[in-house]
Amino acid sequence: MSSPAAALDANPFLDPLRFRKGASDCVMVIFGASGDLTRRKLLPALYNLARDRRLSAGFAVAGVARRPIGDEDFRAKMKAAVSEFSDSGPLDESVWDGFSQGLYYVQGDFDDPAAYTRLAERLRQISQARHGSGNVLFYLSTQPSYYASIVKNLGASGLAGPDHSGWRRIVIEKPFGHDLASARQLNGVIHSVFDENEVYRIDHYLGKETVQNILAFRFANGIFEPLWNRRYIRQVQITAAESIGVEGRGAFYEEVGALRDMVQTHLLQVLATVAMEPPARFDASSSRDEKAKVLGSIRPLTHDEVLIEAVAGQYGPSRVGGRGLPGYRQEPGVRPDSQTETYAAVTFFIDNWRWAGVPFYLRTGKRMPKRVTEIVIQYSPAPHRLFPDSDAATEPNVLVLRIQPEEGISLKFHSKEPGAGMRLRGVSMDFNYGSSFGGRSPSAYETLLLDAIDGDPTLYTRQDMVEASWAAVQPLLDVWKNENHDFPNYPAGTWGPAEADRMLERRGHRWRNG
Amino acid sequence: MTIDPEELRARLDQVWAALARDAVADGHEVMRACGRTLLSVVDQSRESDDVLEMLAELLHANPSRSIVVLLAAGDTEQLAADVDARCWMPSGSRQICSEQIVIRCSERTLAEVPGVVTPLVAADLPVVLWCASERARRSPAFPSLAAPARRIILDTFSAELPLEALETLIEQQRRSPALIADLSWTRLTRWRALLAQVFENRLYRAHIPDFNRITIQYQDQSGRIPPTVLLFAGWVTSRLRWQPQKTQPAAESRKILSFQRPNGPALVTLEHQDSLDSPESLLSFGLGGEAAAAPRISIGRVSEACGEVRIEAAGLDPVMNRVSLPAPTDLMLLGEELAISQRDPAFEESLERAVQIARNLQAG
Repeated sequence: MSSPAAALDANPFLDPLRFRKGASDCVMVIFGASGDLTRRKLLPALYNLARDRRLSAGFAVAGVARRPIGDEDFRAKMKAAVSEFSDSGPLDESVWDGFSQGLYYVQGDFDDPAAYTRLAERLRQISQARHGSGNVLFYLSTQPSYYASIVKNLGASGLAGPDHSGWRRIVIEKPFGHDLASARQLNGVIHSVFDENEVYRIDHYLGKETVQNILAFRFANGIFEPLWNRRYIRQVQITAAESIGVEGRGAFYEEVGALRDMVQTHLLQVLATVAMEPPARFDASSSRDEKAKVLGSIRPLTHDEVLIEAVAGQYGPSRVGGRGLPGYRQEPGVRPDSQTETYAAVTFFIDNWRWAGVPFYLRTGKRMPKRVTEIVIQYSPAPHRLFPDSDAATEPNVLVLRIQPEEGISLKFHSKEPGAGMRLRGVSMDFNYGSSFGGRSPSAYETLLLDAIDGDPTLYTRQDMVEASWAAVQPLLDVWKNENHDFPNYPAGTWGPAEADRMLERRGHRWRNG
Repeated sequence: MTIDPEELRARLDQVWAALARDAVADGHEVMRACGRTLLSVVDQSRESDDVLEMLAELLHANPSRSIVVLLAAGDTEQLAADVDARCWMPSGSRQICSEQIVIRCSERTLAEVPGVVTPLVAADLPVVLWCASERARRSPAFPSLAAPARRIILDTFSAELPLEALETLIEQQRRSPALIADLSWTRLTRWRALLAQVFENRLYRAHIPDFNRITIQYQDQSGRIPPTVLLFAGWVTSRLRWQPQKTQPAAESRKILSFQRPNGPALVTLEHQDSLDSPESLLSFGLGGEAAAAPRISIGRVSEACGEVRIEAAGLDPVMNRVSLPAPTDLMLLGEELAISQRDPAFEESLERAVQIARNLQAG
């Protein structure tokens, strides 16, 4: 096809009232194409997008990995993965036939410059075959230790950088560094090849519908924001509990631990969404400015504060419902004397006018009693006790934003029990996301991949956000690495170490174990 | 034969009290879900139960207070109402329930219905009227019935005279403060999205001035050009900024419409095909140009649930993409319309253009 002198700017056929966001044509280059993330998340998400008419006809994927296989083998493996992991029902063979024509495979070692020469040639062929306009989205789904090498090779081979007919963007999976210094170093490498506006650091929590709904809840309703501050809120809890263990990923988890895996990434991003100031506009720059600002306002804990405001835990063996659950140290790939935390709880304070003095309790753990992710906003009690005979009246109002499962919002308040006298009872007013909107929500990866292709980084983390969140957890990393923890300190199937309960009790608070 | 709205409200309260009692006994929670009042007017027939089931299913994704008016044919004095809760348990221990009120009436008693409906409308929430009964729409009682509605959903699908039906929509939109929707337009969303997606590629977008040929194939048993097809032709040509000219005489199964582009003439061919296995009127769409550089874009159905986009460009292999293109059902179409609460400028523009095209066809 002849290359026209100037492309028209706007697509006249778009109808934002009816069509959900679509995607411009591009080739998505997945480094780590034979990995778990590609099979479980990326390809099922792309297939769902294709099925739902949200990818352009010429969309293509170039998978890069070490295994010496061809395009057809790659397509067969991806078909099996999509059949197994897509949540949109049985695989539609007709849709798959069309979609799979755009799947290609490039064999190569991530450290080998020759692999990038081959990739460049393959991209040229793909662009020709798929009528591409030169847009390329690189996706790093490899072990983090390869990130710097891949980025440098992309730069050296000319695959990234200026002088391309289309755009170049890069999506980088967490963990982004393993501490503040390494995150800064990695940012330096990335910025030597990509501009910050071409970098998409993915935290899939931010793509979840219910996390996005926090912004709608706070900033689209007039009644909550006036009460969203230290004057009315006594404490905030953010919990991400998992009922499963490390599920065969012991070797990986040994190097990471709960603090890096969950707190520095997901939980601090959720905290930022809950605590940020209202942005002037709902665009990438304004939203991320506010999130970066609030993350930068988290007060760093001193060494002594870490000892009382943070708790590390590791699950031990237990029996639940007649079933034996192994301890972390009994999991495959885990050292028998492992000091890696599978549970982390921490109290953060935000040093700004809105939140001064309000504790934000964050906790995450594996092998807890159930899978739940929620934000609990506990309000101050009524200033005057008008109903002294009722214990319920001393209970605070609680607003719960449930992220998973049974996504929704509930507000606990007091109501008079029917009958004589003035006896109060706590009741709950519930909004259930699924029941109000029904249907299948797009997965976080579907949302985030479309955003990256569309050039919208609002739900991606920016360099300053990443560095601010590392700065918040760095004191914990520094203290814990030198400590000899008395692990295991909580049995599998429980809500974590008793010390975490005491951390709250010191302020007269307790965890909501929802 | 009367209906007392107060009594209906009391019966609704009883339904909720009973649900709450059962929920306590069964150890689950019951949740009342309501985002709007959905007033549906349909002809009473053997399919009425299916329609009620479809509306109940619609509530899962669009919780509403559902008021269904079943209009009986003939000269009867029927007027009766019943209330019920439609419940489902999506997951966990929460049962979700929405209210459904069914009013059975006849043409003679339809005028009594607006007075019953008004006090039953859920406060502070929008009212959407879906009128699937042509008899009700033509009734003198219709304006009163439609008065509380913010949005009125009609369907020109089976209109014997498509031009008249589309003109009526324009007239209705002018007269009514409510927003008018037509399910014939809703049927096009997936097709329109497919075409829009093609032009997300800036290389194809750059060839828009080169296109000057459109072919739309359709099926229809009654020999008319269905409103959906006219709306689609209206949408594509108005988006391309093509101005309609005269119609060329042609074979009965093939209508050729002349247009003026910014840079030359263009033709739109509407081609009737006999296709008994297609679930909808629109069969395929093709866009191309005489210039050698212009790509050829075609969109069509390959099966009942699957569509295909094919793009051919000079000197290159064709690109083909297959996507889910399910047969449109009332459930799907109403669900889409209920998600919209504002003006639909694309529909308004396409409707005006579709009427122009239909008039030209009639004149030709």
